[in-house]
Amino acid sequence: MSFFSVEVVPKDPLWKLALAGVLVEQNGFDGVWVSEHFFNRNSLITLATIAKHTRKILLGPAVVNPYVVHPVMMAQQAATLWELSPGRVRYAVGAGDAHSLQRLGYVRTKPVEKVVEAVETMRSSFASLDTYKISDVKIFLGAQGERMLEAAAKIGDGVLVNWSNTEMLKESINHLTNPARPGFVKAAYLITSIHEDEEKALKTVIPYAAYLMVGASEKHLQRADVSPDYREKVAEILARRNWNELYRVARKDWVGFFSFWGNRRQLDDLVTSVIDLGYDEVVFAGPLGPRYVKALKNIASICRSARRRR
Amino acid sequence: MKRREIVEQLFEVLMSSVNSNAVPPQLGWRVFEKFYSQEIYDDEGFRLLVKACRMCEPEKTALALKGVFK
Repeated sequence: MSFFSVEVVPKDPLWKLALAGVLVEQNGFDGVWVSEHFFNRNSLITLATIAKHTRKILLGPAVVNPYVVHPVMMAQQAATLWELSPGRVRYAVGAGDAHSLQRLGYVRTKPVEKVVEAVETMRSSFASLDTYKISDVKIFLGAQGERMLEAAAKIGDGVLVNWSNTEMLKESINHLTNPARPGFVKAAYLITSIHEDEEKALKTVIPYAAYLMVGASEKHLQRADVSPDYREKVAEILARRNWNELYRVARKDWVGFFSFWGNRRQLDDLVTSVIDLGYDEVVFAGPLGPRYVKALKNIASICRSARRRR
Repeated sequence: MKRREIVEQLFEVLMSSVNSNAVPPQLGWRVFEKFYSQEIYDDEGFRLLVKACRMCEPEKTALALKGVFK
């Protein structure tokens, strides 16, 4: 059985994020992941707001960074959110990217070890917190690299694989064999933009792909055929938030490596491929499309069709 | 053009806007409450929605009010 979720990006005001959460539930999705960036709204406050206005969908931040947030605080956040929405909480931990951490003054040393330690501390903290004793919070790891994927299979209840192309998703799933914990969830986290006019879909997704590209490892940059100098140029454009310049310098090859854009039929094909690869959950992340409500309805329709085919 | 269709176009304008920070939170939450209580199609809900849309997307709001926002 496939599971379908939507990422809500807290770049908008809280009232609008609440609207998005309600729309996600109304359109029949199973879960919401709220992305966590220090320069946007707080993901946990956003989730609490969505929790108060929804009944069924699962809720989780994706991903919280252990360099910035202590794992005991992560456990506290999850337990408090659970009291607001019992049985609906998931929580994703990830090491983020070196570029963003550098802006906060952190050095990203030993990211896999840092995340593993955070997950273990979180689990042990659930028992010692003076809250209702929760036992069903699923802890996910956000992963792109091989070692983080393997760590997820060893200690996670699930993994958010942050790739949007089938080649990387196929390579990634090979590192997720024999997970240690029962019910382990393999989720493909697709940065998505759909519209009948593919160029409009492309333009909408470029800033999201650019943030991912700028934060990617050297190895993945080489795979995407991006030079360090070009990456720095894009990083500098992002820092100035000069979108017109970004649209001018963006190349379809790397935007396609870090995101999906296209029409409804193309997304339908991608979703089918992702499920056939063995992923249990598809997360539609990023902008969804230049027309948010229309894109959400189209994606919901694709998910219903995928469920019927299974 | 029925009001229901215009409201749906206006709602798309609001949800697709990248300028939502221009809407004061008090107004944003009133729009949310009208949507959540399924009163967004009523006179007051419509008025609040138009007001919020005009603050973030004046040109697209004009198109939606004519029923031609794609």
